[in-house]
Amino acid sequence: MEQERTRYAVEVPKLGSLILTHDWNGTVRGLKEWPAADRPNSAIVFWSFRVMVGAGLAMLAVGAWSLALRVRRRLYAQPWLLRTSVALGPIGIIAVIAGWITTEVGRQPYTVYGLLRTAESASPIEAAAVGASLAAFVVVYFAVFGAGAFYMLRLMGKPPGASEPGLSPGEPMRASGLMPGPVMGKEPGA
Amino acid sequence: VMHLDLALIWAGLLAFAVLAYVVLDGFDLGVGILFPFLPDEKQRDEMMNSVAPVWDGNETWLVLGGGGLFAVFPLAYAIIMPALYAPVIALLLGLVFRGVAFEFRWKTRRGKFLWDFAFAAGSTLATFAQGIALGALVQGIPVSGRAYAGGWWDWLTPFSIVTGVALVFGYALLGATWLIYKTQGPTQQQAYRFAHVTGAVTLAAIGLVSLWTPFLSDVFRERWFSWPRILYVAPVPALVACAAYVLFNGLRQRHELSPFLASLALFVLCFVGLMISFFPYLVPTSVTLWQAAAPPSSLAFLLAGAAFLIPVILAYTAYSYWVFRGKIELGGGGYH
Repeated sequence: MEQERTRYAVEVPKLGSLILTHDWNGTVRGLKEWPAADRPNSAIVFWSFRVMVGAGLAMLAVGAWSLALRVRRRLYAQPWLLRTSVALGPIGIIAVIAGWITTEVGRQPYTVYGLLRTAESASPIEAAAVGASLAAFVVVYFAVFGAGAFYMLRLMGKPPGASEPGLSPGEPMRASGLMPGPVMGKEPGA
Repeated sequence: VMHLDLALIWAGLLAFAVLAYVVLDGFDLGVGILFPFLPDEKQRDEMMNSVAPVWDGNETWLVLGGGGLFAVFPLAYAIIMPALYAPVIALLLGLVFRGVAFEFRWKTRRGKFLWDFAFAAGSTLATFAQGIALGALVQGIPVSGRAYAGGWWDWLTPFSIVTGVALVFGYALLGATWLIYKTQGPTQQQAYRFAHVTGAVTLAAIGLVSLWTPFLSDVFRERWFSWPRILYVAPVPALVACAAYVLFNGLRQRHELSPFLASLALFVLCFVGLMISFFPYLVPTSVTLWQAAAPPSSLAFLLAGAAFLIPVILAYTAYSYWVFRGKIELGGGGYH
């Protein structure tokens, strides 16, 4: 990063010009043309962008692999596809978060690009208050998602039955999630 | 072409969203507040089932109110949110716990008591924080230029604690009268008792806050006690007295729906009272709704979306309440 250069570069000429300026011969000004105070952290953006694209390509590859097996009617007979799919379970959220980091870090030092700098858009709330609320959110999210992950893993530990049970006794119908109809065996609201 | 005051239309829409939030989430938060006073597990299931199909829809209005304030009155949002930072964060964390309790409570037998606690404590905390936020807004927020100029404990005063406690009793009243309407048998009988107590405390709190508010600012005092304005505002306390009569008469005669409607009317009247005190300020008494409004092009663009969205929300909300109408029944096989 100190040397401000990319090792092992693969270069496609002209494509960047077309995407960013909609002109085959448009000029894309490099990061080094801006003063250092107006640049984002290029190492974070460099890696988060590649993680995002890599995750996307991995998902495409698994999709293509499963399609190929499907065409050959071997979709359920290939344990390595199933293992890979389980291993790739979290990859969607990894791609989303990497993409999000790319956007947010890449926009720095601006909140609204070119108009409002992040330092100018901070609220007058004291740092201690922001820190306390952040700590509270971290604690609450770990507690809630910890419990959620525990219940999900327990649910995943049970093999799926031929006919999934409906609501357990006493459990409420909801406007979202479970469908009330077959469980009730009566007209809604009866 | 008639000139439309878009900022005023938006203020009306957001006032409606906030009122809808208060009365709708009010009764399901109230059910959570009453949870500790009904230790029987079957009755707790019954209480929770009475709000399970609608509580998350009820909270839509909080998102609409908060998101609308951000988009339409950005200056008011930028001043109010830092001023109410701590209570707003407490409100959100309380809602997180009571929200997941609806799902997780049914996933465990050993841990059920924990989610019962999360439901009750989360509901009470969220309500108390809302009441404190309201009190802090009413008592006044120091503003300098276009920003909040106070400290981050300014929201904590005797007045805001009174409004916080008052709202806990007010939502508990909504919850109790909702349970009267939706349940039967022993749960309903206990709900009648809860409604008597919470109704009496709520009315006392309405009286206390109404008498206290005019002393907080000359603007409020002028609104309520100057001649001839006192004539225009007098119907509000008179209607509060009528609603109180309908409430207690309904409780005494064991009506099932009128106590709930009377409690809703009390909240609507308190909200009207607040609007009389506030208008045209969004941050009393420093920023008016016209000063806080986004540019007219933004207001018009957002209004086009709201003109489509709000009728859709109203329609599916009404449909949801219709589908889940009637009494909750106890017993095996879940909710019949």
